[in-house]
Amino acid sequence: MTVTAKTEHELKMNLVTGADVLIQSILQEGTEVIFGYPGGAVLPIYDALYRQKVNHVLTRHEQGAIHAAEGYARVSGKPGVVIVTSGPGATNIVTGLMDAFIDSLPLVVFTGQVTRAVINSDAFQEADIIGITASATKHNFQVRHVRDLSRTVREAFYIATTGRPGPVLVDLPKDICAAQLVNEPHHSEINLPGYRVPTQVNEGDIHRFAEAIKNAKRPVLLAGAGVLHANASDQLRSFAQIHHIPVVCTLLGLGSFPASDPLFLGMGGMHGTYAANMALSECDLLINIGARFDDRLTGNLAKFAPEAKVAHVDIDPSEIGKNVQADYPVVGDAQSVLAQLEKVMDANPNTLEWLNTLNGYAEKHPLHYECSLENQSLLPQFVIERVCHFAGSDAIITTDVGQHQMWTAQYYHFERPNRWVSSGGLGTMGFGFPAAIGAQIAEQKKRVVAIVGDGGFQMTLQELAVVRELNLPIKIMILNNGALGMVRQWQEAFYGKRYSHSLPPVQPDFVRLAESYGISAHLVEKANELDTVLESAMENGEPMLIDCRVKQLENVLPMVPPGKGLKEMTGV
Amino acid sequence: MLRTIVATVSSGSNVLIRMTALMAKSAIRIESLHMQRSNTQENISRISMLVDVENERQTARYVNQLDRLVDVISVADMT
Ligand SMILES: Cc1ncc(C[n+]2csc(CCOP(=O)(O)OP(=O)(O)O)c2C)c(N)n1
Ligand SMILES: [Mg+2]
Repeated sequence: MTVTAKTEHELKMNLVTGADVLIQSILQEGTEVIFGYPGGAVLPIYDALYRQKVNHVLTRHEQGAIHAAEGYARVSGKPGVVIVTSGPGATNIVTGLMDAFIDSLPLVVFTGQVTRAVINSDAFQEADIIGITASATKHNFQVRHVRDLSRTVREAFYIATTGRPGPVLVDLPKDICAAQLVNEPHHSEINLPGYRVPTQVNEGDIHRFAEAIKNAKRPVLLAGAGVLHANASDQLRSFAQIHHIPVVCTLLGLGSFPASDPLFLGMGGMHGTYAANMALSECDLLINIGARFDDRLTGNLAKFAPEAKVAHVDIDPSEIGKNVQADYPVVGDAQSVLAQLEKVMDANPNTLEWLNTLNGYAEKHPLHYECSLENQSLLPQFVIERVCHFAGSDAIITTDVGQHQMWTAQYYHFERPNRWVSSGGLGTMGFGFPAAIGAQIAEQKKRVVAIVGDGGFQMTLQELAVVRELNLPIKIMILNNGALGMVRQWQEAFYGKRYSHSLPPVQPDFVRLAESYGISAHLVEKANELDTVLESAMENGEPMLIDCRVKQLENVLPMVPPGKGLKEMTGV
Repeated sequence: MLRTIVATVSSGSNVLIRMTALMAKSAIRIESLHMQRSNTQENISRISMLVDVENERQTARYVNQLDRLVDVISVADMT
């Protein structure tokens, strides 16, 4: 460890601070980058960062830091690391914690805390972040003794990254980080008697599961984000191809199975394809691999997969049977389960007729939109198709939340895993742009495109400063409909077109806004202007913002109206 | 319906915050709640509680969610 700016006495005694031990422990876990924002309670930590060689990204808001860490975690599979101060710094990351918790992203988040002596005295910038985040973290710790520091860091990383991944918070009273201690190698064994990671897949479960698949007439694979977390895309692809089983992806499962494969039916759920939702509705065996039967996927549960036996594979036993009763429950990670299943699959189900039926659905009711070339008006679906064309299948796409997110999920063809970053479970506006920063930092050689709405972009656009500072070649595509589009769509469909507060009367000039940060920007108003701009954007290695003025009153279709079953889609 | 749930946990207040947060989320009513440190094992406590739940399914979900907590070593519906 390199330590500078220490007094002679400190050097002679080989004294370091708690903060030095903290940073050392964080680096020992293989951390490459920390996203953070300083403040009073973490001054000792930031002083240690000043002394030690650490790659720290200063975002312009704590929410930006945690969403960047999520984007980093999503594409790299490694834990995103965040440091923020106590009080407001800590409360500013609650949304990101909840987002990572519900979407199972590994994060280790360090919050400053007031000194131990004044905890629970309403001290300046004190917040009970342990209590506040109890339901928004996989686990949280407050370090009460310096001697626990390095062990707690190890445990935090271990919990965040094993089993079902999730965010772990470590609260650090200022005096713990400021404490001086003798720098000695510390042996910090993990001590978590209540934490078990499922490793052995039950053989009996696998055999019953295999029998069910072999005998199925209308099986369908539902691939969720669990496939991606377990790096099981290859296994999924070969399993589906060998046994001729069609595949539906959840929103977050996109990319786990190649969109161009003939067995791929598209995304299921509220804005899923007709073929995918019919497959889920008419199947006799629903094979859920790492999806959690979210209500946006199932629609009305009483009408969900009415004729199907359900097989459910999940690393988290508490997911199985939570929303949908499982006939074939299998606890384990998607990769081991699929590998073991393959070993015992000695026959194929006969799915020829079923695949024909589904192909018929897909041909009869593909995704579609009305494109009028005459006035060259810019349609959002068209923009996504062109981005897909120019960005290529290796690009990483992040989105914010709203109509543009659904159009991306529908019209972008994800061919490979870990190229798709979106806020699924929490639906957090403001996520997409900072997530792209984290993704670009994780994958510096890859093309990263952030597809955002005009509304959500305004929630975290201050991070443009980071893009400029690090010269990250992110392309920011604003699908600017001058509306909180998804809200407006629901008001159109279910509230008699009473557009209450969904058409903001004042919008910034996004082009000049980007330019004020030193980022070049283009305005695209007509369909025939798009390709030239996209082509040049994807070629150059500079950040760029593209403000696409898309049709305001366009709707995301088809749609399963709230409360309805998947078969009751409108706008097919 | 009344159910008795018994858990062995790591001592400390964190586990109690999480257990009660889960209860609050699904409006499970606590009839009684008892937590005691083990006098044979260090840092281990036993919690037993009598809760009022809507149905078996809610109990199963609650027990599963408790089991998932890092500080819960074991838990069971002992009714
Ligand atoms: C933090 C947050 N606040 C509110 C919402 C509710 N909401 C969902 S979509 C949406 C509109 C988003 O507008 P925009 O970013 O312009 O995207 P568009 O739907 O127009 O593509 C709103 C307000 C949300 N998801 N997240
Ligand atoms: Mg909008």
